[in-house]
Amino acid sequence: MRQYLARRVLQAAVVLGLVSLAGFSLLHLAPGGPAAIYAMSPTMAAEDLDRITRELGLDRPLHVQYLSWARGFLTGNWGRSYRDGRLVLEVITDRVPATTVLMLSAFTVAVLLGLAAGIVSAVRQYSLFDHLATSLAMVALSIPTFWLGLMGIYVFAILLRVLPPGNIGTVGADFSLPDRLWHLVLPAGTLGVVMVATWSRYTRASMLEVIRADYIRTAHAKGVAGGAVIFKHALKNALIPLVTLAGLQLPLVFSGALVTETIFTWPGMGRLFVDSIGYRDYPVLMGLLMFTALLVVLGNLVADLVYGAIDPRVRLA
Amino acid sequence: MRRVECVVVGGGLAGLAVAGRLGRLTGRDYSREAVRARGRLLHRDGFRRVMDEMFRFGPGVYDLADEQTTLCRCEEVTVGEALAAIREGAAHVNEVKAWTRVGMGRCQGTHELITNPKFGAYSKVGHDQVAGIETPDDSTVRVRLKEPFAPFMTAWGDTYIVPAHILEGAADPNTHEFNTKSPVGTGPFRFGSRVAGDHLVLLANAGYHGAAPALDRVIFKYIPDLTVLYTQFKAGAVDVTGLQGISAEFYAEAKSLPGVTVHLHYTPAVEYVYVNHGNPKFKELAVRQALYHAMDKRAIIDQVYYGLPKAVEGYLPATSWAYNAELPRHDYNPDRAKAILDEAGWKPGPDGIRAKGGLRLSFSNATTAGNKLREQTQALLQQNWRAIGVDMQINNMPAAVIWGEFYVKSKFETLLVGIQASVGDDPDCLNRIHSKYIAAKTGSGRNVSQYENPQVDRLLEDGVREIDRAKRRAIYQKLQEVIRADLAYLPIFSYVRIEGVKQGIVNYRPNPYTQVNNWNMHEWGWRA
Repeated sequence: MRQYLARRVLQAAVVLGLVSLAGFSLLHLAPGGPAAIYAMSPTMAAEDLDRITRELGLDRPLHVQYLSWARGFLTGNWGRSYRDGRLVLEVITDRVPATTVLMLSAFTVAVLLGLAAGIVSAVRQYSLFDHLATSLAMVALSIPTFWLGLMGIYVFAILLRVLPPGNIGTVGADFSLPDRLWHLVLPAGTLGVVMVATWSRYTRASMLEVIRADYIRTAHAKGVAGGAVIFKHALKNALIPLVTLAGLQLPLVFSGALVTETIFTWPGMGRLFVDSIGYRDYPVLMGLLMFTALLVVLGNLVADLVYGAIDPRVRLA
Repeated sequence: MRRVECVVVGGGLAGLAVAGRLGRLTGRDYSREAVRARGRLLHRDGFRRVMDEMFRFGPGVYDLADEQTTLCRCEEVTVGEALAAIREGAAHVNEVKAWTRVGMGRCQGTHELITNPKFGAYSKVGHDQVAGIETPDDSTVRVRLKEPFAPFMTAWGDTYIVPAHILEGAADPNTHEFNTKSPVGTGPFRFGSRVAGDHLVLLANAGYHGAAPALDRVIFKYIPDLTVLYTQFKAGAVDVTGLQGISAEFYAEAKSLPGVTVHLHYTPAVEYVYVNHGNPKFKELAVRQALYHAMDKRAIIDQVYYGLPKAVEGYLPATSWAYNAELPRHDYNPDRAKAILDEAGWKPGPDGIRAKGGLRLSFSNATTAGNKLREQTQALLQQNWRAIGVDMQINNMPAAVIWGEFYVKSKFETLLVGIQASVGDDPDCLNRIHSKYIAAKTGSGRNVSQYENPQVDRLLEDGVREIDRAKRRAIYQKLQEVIRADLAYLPIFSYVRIEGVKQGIVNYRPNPYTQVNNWNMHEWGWRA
């Protein structure tokens, strides 16, 4: 087991190195650069622009810039944002709580509802419920998030005026839990709808496969009660492939939803990413990239470890 | 005069007091710790006590001081001046220092910061002209310029004073936390808190020297998407829409919303087609005239911008005191355009595109990718010009690309761009059109269209040297006439700003010459 972990960590280090290299090159090869923000100022002289470029170190060869960034990254110095001079780590960690709250609530709702719908659909295959759930899932998967979000705002915030049109809490009010939850409903609901669809589809497929297995028939034949067969024998096994799905979705939880956060003016990491791209804020972008990559690697590792724990057929070595 | 360690102990004492008030420390624990800390303070503060003892003011010294007594020799601050500051509301010795510079030295912190080559100030206009600053008395600042520069007052009107005592010693003023976490000032509002990229809270400044603001608190919410901003305004979550305000496509609906007032006013920014005068295709006036005649401005304004902006012929808005209302009106006339080109020898080739001496009238037009209204305008222009045998290709780029070197170093052929050429409400536009300010040639300035005209240069130079407004008006009216006749740019329209304000807010007054309409926010309030 220890050897297995060591190997995985080593693999992760290599993956992160490659990700950073690819990300860094792509960012810097894309046309334009952070100096364009300064160029907007009417009186900024061309020589001043050159000087700023030099001070930001952007005139050095790309590999030198990469090495200096990598050295900083490894020693915990992720640089400063070009936009307001704050430390990158601080800029990112500022945004983590908002995104975590939003995504975890959407994720929880999606997993619970998705599992329930998936199980019922599988057990009562081709029933009215199954048909309904299947079509609704297709609709939910096909609707673009921004449209769903804007419709949500239009119906609940403008027509009915029962939910706020965005923001993490009432602007200017002190922190209060009910207020926060009230603001969470629309964005988490919007995100949740798409996730529910995915989860119900996966659960249904996985359950159907398991339900037809011999040991389920055996359980029924032995006279085990219907509910017990479904929850004790079938669900346990059907969950195994879903762990992979969870492992893949976990990083999403932290990287945030670009569109949802923009529509609902949610101060999370997704919006930070969008804003930073517009400014070519390289240090923040690299920070976000590495942060997300780290989570993907971790998410996969955790999923594999959980796999080993819940599936006796899988041996980690 | 105290040692640094004393400050640390002092901080510890303050911390103890806070813990005591919060009930985290019992009274007995608090007094035990505090006594210890005070002991340390006495011990370490010995140097100060010795100095105080040795240089103790003799009895009656305070009585000798009168209003004329000099309190600070370096800054030549008198007792009277310091007392005046206190009367005007300085509540702490640090405030007296900030106001009178007593014991501070070098008072031009803000100016020095702006002219510091290492500091990325948004604009350095005017500050590069300063020869010296004096403060002859406590309420006068006298600025001496190297040469006459009339727009100076406007440029300084847009300059905000920063505290020298904080930024003077900063290793890097660009990244100092004053900019993001702990700004201070003397205005009607003070900094409350900020969540970067989300919102900024301002609180009424109780120590403000003018009338106290009516609002206790103002929150600036950062909403980058204009559609989202409008929906939030519509839902009542936003009281005033700032910066770009409401998009033209929502204007009609916004006006009909209950409980809001919608303001519409012209800004000094003008939408132009910039042609690159460094490109041989645009050297001839005939070509520029033909392009202008063939441009269907009415269609652009009505079909793309909902009829809201106003067609203009110059670079100034109609509200400017130097605006020339007599400029020849644009005449949409494709036939006239064709005739002009025919006459100038630009004949249609086999593909229908006009050419002369091996030069085809085919060029690209660039603007910010994703700006829907500009993209629609480009489509109309493309049709308009195609009709007279001119080929225009669209070559759009993201903002971070186009407004960098491509723009500054004049690498475009033509550009669709919105620009405020003047400085605040001053009609000067030296930086935008004088031949000395072509960055591609001279390294500085924003004359990106590379326009060169000795008559224009002279008028611009006269305009900033002349102080008398009536004489200046004549100069700038002439300037607008010359630019219009020579078609240095092809002007389309003057931008409108549409702003929504919730009913009940009083004293909201739009001012087109500010970037954000909160210039008189200290007067805003809610109707009782």
